[in-house]
Amino acid sequence: MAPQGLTYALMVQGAPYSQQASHSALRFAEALPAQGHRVAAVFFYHDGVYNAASMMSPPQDEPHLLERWRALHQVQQCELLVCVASAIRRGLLDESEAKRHGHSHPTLEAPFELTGLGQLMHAALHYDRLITFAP
Amino acid sequence: MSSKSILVIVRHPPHGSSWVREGLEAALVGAALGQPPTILFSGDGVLALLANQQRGALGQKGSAAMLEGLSLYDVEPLWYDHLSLEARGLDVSQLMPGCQQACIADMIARHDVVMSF
Amino acid sequence: MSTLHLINRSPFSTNVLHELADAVSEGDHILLIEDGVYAAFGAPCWTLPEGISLWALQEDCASRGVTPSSVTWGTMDMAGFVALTASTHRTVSWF
Repeated sequence: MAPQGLTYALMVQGAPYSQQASHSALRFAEALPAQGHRVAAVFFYHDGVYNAASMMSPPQDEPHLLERWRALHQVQQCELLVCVASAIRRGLLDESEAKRHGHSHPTLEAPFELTGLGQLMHAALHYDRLITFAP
Repeated sequence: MSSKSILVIVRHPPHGSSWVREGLEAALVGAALGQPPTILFSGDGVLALLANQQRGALGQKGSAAMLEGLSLYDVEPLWYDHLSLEARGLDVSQLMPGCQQACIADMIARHDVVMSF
Repeated sequence: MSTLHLINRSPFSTNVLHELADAVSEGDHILLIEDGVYAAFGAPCWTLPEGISLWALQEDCASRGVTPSSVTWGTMDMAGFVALTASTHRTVSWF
């Protein structure tokens, strides 16, 4: 019998619309509550940081991955943690980082948060399961 | 503090992508938090352990320098899967110092959490 | 204390399945997802130790028109995937 009420951390390493990783991670996360589990944190690393691109504008007949992540955050109260080192290199900056680097607009917004790798290690240590969705 | 053990598996070669650097950074941060993970190189990941590497075309700090620094943070030894090494026609004499042979199945079974890069 | 191994790459483009053969322990589960389900057409083209359960994710098989060889591969829906991650001790992603 599988244990009940587990907390999950997901690591998403695949870019949206390039690989299936984001879709798989979302489908998995959305299926957790039916079995009494929940996703506590999603950590975006490698090209996975592009999932947080605030100006993501997919065609209307395609799933809007940013909206799906926001909905997941609302429903399961999970943190959406974006590796700051991977994100800034790739042009994903929140308001304060945008200012600091002399850009007029942020490209990453709440509920996504820029965080260090310490948060990934914390999630791995403190939540019951870590599942990696890779490109 | 949790007593969970973490295994970081690196399975991609260095220089051509950022996987090795990102895996090593995760391991270093774990060590800085007082929970040094075990690090294991398997598949093409063993190529990150080759001696005599230089700064890469990505213009970023080569992973070899980071690897040499891991022992300062108690992330040691550098475990490698010997079958992956053999499959690539290599032996341990071609690797940097500090490498040690591992059985990957045992490694996985002995850790609570596995992170792949 | 078993492990769930996730494979998301076609077996024809990667060596990962051969590497996996050395990395599994008795009682482990292998679940094919995404392009990994292309390994489910027939018997595994690599040798695995005894006592390993083999699964393919139903929705990824369906989207790709893959009917897993039922002799070798069980199919599992997303709920089954979740249940496997809960009943095993750890999950390893191979890519």
